[in-house]
Amino acid sequence: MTAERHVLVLGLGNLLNTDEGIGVHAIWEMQRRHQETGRYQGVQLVDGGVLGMRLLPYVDEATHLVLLDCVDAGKAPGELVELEGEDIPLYAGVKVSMHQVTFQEVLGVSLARGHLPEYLYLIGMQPVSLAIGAEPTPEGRAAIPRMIERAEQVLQQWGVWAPPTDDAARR
Amino acid sequence: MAQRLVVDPITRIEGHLRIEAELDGNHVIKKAYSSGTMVRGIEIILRGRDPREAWAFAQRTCGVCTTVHAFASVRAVEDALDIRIPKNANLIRNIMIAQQFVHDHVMHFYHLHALDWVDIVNALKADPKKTSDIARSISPWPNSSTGYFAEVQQKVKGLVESGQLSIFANAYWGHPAYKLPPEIDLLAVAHYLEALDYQAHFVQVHTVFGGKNPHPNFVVGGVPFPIDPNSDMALNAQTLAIVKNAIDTMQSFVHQVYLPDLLAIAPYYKEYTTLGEGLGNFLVWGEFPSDDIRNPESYLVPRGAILNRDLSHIHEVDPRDFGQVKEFVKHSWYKYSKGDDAGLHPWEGETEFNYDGPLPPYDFLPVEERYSWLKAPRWKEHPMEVGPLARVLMLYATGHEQTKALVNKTLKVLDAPLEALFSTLGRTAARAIEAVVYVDAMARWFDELVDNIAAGDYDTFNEERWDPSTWPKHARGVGTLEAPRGALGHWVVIDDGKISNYQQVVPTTWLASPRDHKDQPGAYEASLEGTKLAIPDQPVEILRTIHSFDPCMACAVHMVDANQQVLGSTMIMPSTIVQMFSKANALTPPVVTLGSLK
Repeated sequence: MTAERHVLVLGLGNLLNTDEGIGVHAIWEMQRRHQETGRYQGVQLVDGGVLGMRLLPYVDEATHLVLLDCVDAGKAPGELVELEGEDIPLYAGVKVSMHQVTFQEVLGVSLARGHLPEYLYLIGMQPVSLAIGAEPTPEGRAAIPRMIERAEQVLQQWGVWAPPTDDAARR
Repeated sequence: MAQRLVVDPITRIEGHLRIEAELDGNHVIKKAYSSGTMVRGIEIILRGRDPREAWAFAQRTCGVCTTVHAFASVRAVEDALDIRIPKNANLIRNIMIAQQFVHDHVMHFYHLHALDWVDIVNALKADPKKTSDIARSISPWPNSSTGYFAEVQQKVKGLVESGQLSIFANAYWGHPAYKLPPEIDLLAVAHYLEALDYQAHFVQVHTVFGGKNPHPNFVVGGVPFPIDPNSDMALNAQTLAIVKNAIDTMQSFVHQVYLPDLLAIAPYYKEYTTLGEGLGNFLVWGEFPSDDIRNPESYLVPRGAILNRDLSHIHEVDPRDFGQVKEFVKHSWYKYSKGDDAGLHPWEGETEFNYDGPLPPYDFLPVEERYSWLKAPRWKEHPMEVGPLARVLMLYATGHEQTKALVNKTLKVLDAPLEALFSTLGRTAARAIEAVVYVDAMARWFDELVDNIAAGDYDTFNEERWDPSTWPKHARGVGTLEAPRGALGHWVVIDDGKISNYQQVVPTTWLASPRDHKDQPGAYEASLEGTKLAIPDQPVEILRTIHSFDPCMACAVHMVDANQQVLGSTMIMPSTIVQMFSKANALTPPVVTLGSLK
């Protein structure tokens, strides 16, 4: 494990299936905020889409990783689901296609090679719909600010990021 | 770290491939049916959009093939609007496409396909000294000492003892179909781990040329960045050096690890040179133009078709010909305005859903009727195989010297005739062979690019037709591309500056296609017939053949599933049918999703 700190927020999901892409829409929003105000200094914001194993180099490099994703946990649509560290299952196995490389397989392979980020946190949203469409549902879109707020709180708890001071004063 | 069995919250399964196989009393497959159980909707999303931004959606069609879909889309629009791209842009695109081939093929071989042939647990029994001797006898690759392999073995041992091997759960360790000696298992495991490390080097090509990783940028008319030797913001000597370094690394890995490993493993599975043949018909759109893409004569991989294994006769193909490429839906969940027996060229393609299958969960699909979300594409009404084997056969048949030498070398190692190529193992070998050809070509294109820049040509973008006011009122185009998995085509129709129809015919639609209007099977279906399963509820034989095609269900069909058990489990039915994958148990069952679409 690298001694140097590397903080990564990774948005996952498929943009073509409405709320399935919620993690990507959330990371785009964070990227937009960063572009406007430089809010996320020292944090790498990556739109991971459904790139599967291609994300391994990003995961390997990270010491602190927050995942934003669409998650089915049987909750009410739009509700957030959170999992930390070892509660996130790792998995690999027989698959038919490289496209079935799931993201937690990426985590599993990273673990097997001794590169799994020491700090790992998942913020997911229970989808309202996975129908075909390039935009999230209104309820899904409404959850994005909550996802980002939770991501910021996690980064703060880890002590790897703080909101810009003028922002803190406003609160 | 503890492993827990919980419902998978972050599975990213991009679509389902379902195989239903009918077995006889000796466990031999009599008939196989291939079904895509999730629908794709890119055509619907693109309708009405600006054709210049189509690539941004097309590249999200799938996670592994972002680059090829983006390029096919850009090429289709350039074809429709008669846009010619500068020489530098063509060279850079060739390098990016070839990078995708090498990256995908290496990852496919080690990460997906290797587990079909390599028994990780068996590697623990290996003598690292013997592995080292084997490694040094087949390759100059430096990581080959006894100490190195002993270290890898310890690492694997640690994973097994700590229970972390569960991340490789569900492979069929100890199955009698695994035949490698432990020393070669260990060699392959070491290189599996190295391949994962090396991919970080491979992607640097796209980091430089794509501008933005992991989703690169593309542009209709060229490539989206300037060349300027004097600017930090442009492609310059420093960034070119990064690309050069990445190409060198890929070349070493392919020549010294990938191909030697393939040739070391293949002789232990010689029976797979007579299994899994399939159709014997091959289609290649062609790739890597050295001139304008409208001139197929300039392609490195020629365009053409081969029928009934006859390499002496290459048929001419034309993706624009309404009589050549047609998609049929007799066994697919779509409705055509001209009826079930009609075949439609992609420019007149229709995407109207017509799901009349069973409500999930279900036991079996009605394979005599409609059973797939994939349409059945046909070339002159023949089902065709696309992909590495098709391309290698095309290169071989048209006299490409390097390909011929590599094929002959492979056949010599296997002590097998040319016919051995028409097989599961032939397909897997073809993938390594073409990786060698393209990685070497990549190094040449890089030199050409550097020479062209040195001669003062900095042009990367043709802006003549950027403005929609310069476009015709009605236009249509086709973008063909050889993707790692095979011939890919995007067909676009543009009316009044907006997309009015968009159809993709992707490699896996050709390969995983269901039966057509004449009840002819698709490539997967045909390839499984006659295969005998040693242990029917552990059908590693089916996986080997299907994996040899490198399935790409994400773009063929499209959806996610929240249940990680879907692919991990194998069910044996009390009767004669093996269902490779358990019942669809999607977060939103496909029927419900589709019902709400209309």
